[in-house]
Amino acid sequence: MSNDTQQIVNKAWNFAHVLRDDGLSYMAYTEQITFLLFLKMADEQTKPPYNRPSIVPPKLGWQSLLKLDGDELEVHYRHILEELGKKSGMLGEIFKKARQEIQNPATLKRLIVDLIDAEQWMSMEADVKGDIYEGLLAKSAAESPKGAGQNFTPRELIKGIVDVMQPGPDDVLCDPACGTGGFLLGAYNYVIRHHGTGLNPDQKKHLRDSFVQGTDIVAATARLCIMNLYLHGVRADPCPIRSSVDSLASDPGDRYSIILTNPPFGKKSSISIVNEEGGLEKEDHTYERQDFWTTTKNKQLNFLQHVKTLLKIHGRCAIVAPDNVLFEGGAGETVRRNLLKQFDVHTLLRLPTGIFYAQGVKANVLFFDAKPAQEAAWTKKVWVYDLRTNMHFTLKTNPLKRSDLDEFVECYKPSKRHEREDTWNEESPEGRWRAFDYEELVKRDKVNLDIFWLKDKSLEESEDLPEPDVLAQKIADDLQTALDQFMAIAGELKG
Amino acid sequence: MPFTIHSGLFHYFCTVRLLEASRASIVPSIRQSTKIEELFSDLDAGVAALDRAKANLKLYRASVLKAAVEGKLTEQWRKENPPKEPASVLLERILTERRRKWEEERLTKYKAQRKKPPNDWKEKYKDPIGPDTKNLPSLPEGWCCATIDQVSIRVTKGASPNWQGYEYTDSGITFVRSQNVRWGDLDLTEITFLSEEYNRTHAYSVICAGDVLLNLVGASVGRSAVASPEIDGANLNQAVAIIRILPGGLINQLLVHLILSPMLQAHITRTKADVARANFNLDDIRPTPVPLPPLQEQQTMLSEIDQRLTLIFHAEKEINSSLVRASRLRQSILTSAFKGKLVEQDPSDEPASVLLERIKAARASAGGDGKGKGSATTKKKVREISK
Repeated sequence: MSNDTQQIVNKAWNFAHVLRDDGLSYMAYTEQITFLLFLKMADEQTKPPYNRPSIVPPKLGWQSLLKLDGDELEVHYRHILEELGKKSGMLGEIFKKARQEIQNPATLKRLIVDLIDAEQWMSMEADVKGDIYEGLLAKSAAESPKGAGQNFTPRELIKGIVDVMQPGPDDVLCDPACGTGGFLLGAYNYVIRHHGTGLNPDQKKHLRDSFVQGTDIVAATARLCIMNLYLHGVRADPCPIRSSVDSLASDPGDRYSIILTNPPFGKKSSISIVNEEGGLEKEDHTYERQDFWTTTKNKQLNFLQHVKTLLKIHGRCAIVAPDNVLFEGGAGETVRRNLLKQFDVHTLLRLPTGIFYAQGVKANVLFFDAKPAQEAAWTKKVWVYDLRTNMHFTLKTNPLKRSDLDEFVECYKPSKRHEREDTWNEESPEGRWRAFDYEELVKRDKVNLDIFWLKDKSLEESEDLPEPDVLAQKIADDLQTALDQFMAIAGELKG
Repeated sequence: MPFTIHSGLFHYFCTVRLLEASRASIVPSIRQSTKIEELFSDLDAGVAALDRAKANLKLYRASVLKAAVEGKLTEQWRKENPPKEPASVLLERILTERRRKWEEERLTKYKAQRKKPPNDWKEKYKDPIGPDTKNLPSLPEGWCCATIDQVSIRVTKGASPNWQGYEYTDSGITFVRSQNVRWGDLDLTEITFLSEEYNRTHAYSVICAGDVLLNLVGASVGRSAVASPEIDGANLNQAVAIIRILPGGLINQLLVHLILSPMLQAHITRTKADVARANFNLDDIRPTPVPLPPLQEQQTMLSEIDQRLTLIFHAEKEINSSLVRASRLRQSILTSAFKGKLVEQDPSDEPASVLLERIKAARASAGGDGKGKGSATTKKKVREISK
């Protein structure tokens, strides 16, 4: 990172800390930065070398803010947020339900003048401003592991998934639970890196305008996603992100060639939604949809049913799903049976614990392809990679790196799946990559896909005794999962 | 009281095999031992919580089944899906089918024996025992009460092969015993075999896949499971009953859940004759009342039960793993302590040799092998470590 860039980053963080002391969370700080940055960048576009007409009405634009001070500044800023939130298109999406949260007008002034106004953001490299922004997002997520942060997908994991999915310039991509846009950006960057120079004008246009699409039910998160994409060079008008929309409510009709997504965990969301009328809605109702195989309150099962509908024929999907999707009976069995039959479910990556902000999360990545209708089952073999057993990651001391996924990516063999080979056999029982035939899977009780074969060293009677903290963490992780399940049950029983 | 703690710890020193020469056998300082005590008391509390959670899981399972039997699991569903056909009509169909199947079986038998059926052979049909209409609990809308006899075409049990002169073999037909029938599933790890001949002489107790199996005798009475395809064509002993359900009636898996529910388990306990071995007879099975929901509701109920039971099963597995890890954690903490890793080394800590002397002295004054003053928990820990 150049000196200048490092300076900007430091400034951004210094302000974050100042405002934190004022009571502003990193998440809220990131939001405010989003608004100010947007206004500044819109202003820069009206000047050379862009000379575009202003997308923001001048009396609500950046220049109008610069002249003001103290209370006047505060009032005007508040007014801008309110007014712009009523607009349509990208403008409206960024400022939807925006609120002024900076208590001290003097700090606001300094933020405007010293941080935002001091730089030329439009000409700054997408990587740089993108990284700064992503850094803020990651910090926001870390700050609230039970709130918004619980759904933040580690970027290293996204890189691994994108590396095996190998999106191309002709793909159309969707994330129906896009959060802050990690997957969408990951795919976008991949295409730029691998095809950037060879793109024809149509492909470039497609990449900028219609390559990615996302939905998020929370306006504040969608806003960050739009900004994140925008800062990375994705054109945001017409806005590719639908905000405050519940993906599960209905089939949007559009179809995609790639779906990458990490739908929210938890049966019941801890977030209640304030709907348009100001009423309180909970996110745990059942969805009666013709395209669904079964009706259930289980949000992850519903997302699985939703994404399979969104795929074009021969479309491909990678979805992060918690363990219960793999073993839960009842509706879970119905979904698994139908998925294995009607789709080619070819890969299951069992993720380690200790990589998400929410503690104890046990999740997996399920990879499957859409196929035309036929009588026989499409899945022939499911290849399982166990990255969980005997793996110890922590967010601080041993975070997941892209290199930890190297073996998985190598085993996956993206365009040559017929050449896949087990790394497990009787002679090498520690192999983490193993295939299971469709026939043996559907015979399993309730089509349970919660498959492990490696010996868990923390459970074995062996001389190899793990360190106390490792054992204690494993116990805590398991119990956290069990706790989440039972809190959901208890909540359900209370009615 | 430092010395009482340390007298307990002295037992750790002796019983834990970590004191082998190859390891740096550092006798923990007082600070280390305090740390160990802290960690162990936390660990004990954690394990106690795990044990409670495990017990509560069992209760939760029972309450799920109870709620199912009482129609509470499908209460909401019932409101949204009024039955196409009430269970009373379903029962009539079942009874008709029962008679038809009986007639079909008799005819097949006569044919096999090359006999012409006598004129009044149909009169031989015995109507199944109906439910005792006194003391029936109120049932949800659309349900009715039936008996196991009504919804099944056969209720029978096996025999004891040894009494009949058969020896167990290494292969042949699978022979199911009560230990193989668990709470809702089968455990075929300890299985015996008999010669093919046995199925010819004991054709009436040959298992068909889909049969409901129920333990009649001994400690495992009341356990039940559906016969899997794996044991289709197997036979079974006198401790296990076969209930052959009429298809299209009460779903077999649902009957298993009903049998395992607290209500029916209590019924079994009350009914079984108070003889030398706890016993529940075929004549007790047949009149056993079972609630019969309409067909569609049965499907939904099964789905709801399955969903919850899989979660419970999974949670039990997690808890059991956690209990194993907890005991390994105990050892791991001690290992760390002995390697001097639990607390920072402090030069002002008493040197090991001095501490050891003090402990010996304390033991001597306590009189004997530390049985006097060691706290109950530390002694328990010692026992656990030495297991």
